[in-house]
Amino acid sequence: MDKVSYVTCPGCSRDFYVERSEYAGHPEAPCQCPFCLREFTAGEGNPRPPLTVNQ
Amino acid sequence: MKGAKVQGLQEFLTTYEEAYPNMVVHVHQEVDARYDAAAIALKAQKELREAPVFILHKLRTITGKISPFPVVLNLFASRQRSAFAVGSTFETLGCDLYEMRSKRIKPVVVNRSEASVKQVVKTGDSANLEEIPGLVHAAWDPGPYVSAGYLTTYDPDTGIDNCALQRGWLYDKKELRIFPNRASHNRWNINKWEERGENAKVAYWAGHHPAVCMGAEAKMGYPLSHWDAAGGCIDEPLRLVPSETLGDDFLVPADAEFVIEGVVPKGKLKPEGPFGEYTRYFGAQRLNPYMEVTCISHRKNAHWVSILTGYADDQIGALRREGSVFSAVQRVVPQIKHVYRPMPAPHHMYIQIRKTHDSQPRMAIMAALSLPDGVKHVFVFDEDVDIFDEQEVQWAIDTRSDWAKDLIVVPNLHASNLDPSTTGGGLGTRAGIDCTIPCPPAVYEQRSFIPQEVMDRIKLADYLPNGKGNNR
Repeated sequence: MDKVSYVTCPGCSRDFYVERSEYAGHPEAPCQCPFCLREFTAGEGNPRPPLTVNQ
Repeated sequence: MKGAKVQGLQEFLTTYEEAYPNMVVHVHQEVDARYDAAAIALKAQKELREAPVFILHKLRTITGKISPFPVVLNLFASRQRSAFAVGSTFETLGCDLYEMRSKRIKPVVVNRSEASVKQVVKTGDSANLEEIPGLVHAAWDPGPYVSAGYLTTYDPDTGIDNCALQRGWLYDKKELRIFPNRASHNRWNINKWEERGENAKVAYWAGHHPAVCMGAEAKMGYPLSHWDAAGGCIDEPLRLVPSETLGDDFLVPADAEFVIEGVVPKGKLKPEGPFGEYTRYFGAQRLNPYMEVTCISHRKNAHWVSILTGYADDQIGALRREGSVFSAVQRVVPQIKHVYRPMPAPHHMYIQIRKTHDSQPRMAIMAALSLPDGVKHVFVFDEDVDIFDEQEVQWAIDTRSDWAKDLIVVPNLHASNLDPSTTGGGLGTRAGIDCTIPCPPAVYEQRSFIPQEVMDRIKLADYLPNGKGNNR
């Protein structure tokens, strides 16, 4: 199982990753870009791999 | 601890500088808190034989101001320095710390007027985290972090303290996002308070005599006092003082450089991280608790300590494992001589034994792998192999192990979720390699050598012109 999912900040378009075990199944959960500090939901960050529960 | 009565960080630095004047470097030019300070620490670790302590006297913080607080880097980047702090030696430091912590000396509570950390106390709007000279170490870190702070909680059932080096993002003036991982005792305590319907009281203390820091950084059962373990390492009761805003029963180290007090709102989580972790990978962003800061207290002219996580300065976290491995292996292989966690590999452990039976390396491997505290790869060596010399170690792995018969692999054991090689769910594979030669009557090739009397007689200095030679 992948442990992280890459997301893209909708503000500055830079990539980082979130912990899958905390975000899987919760596309509405908050992320915060470490580069521009913009807040967005995990779903808005186009998570790769997707944050499906059975991934 | 063999030596003078312990006090705080600054007293240690003075003593250490008197003993090793070249190993404390005062930097008076301006240094940027974002990356530059970390780069200085890392370059010193990579380019010098032994990294000195840096004291940055003119740090430009991420808010653009020059900090009134000096910043200390590389405090733990030298194992020799850590050994000096507790009167130990390079080779025996991990085991000595284990024995010292096991002495468990109860702390004493002093009045506020006797506590140097109460020399400046700021509450309410005056308690402003932006005054803390936090550093941004790694490229994905979202801001300045507490990297050498001991997050402290109390078990609501027993009143027993717990503290651990755990990262915290200095988010803004009042908010500090913390990462007490779910398996940690601090998180258990925070959860207990939550289950009672209460906000957890927490504090960071940062900057103290290294012996106190190494003592408090003990992997122990739950609930067991880290104050007692720290007392064992200084051979006297650790001085504690009541908090300012968390109640008189919430005690903090009286001689710390800084104490940051706060509460963790129950049931609320916020994004925290990524952060350059001890594995030298970025730990992912997580949903973690956060502190609402209620008080910052500090010494006058307080020094802020920062640990460059994942590099030599971070060995403070690894030292705790050496003693527990030694103790566990000693029960099944009394002939154990030394253990060593090599700096670049956070989950490796080298074990040196005086082998008397061919079963012993495997017994030692199994004992070490069974421990909960992060040992993933174990290598067992004969006593003629200097396990503190990486050239000797690599030679022995190469020439004394046949992995078809000398490798033990155990899948699905407890693993750190921060280790990217694990599969998640807190499970991973651990393994050990027997790098010893067989016991008699089996025979093995003789390692080559120069006669000892020649090695004793030849003095290199007699053949090197003054100042010549690579000192690296």
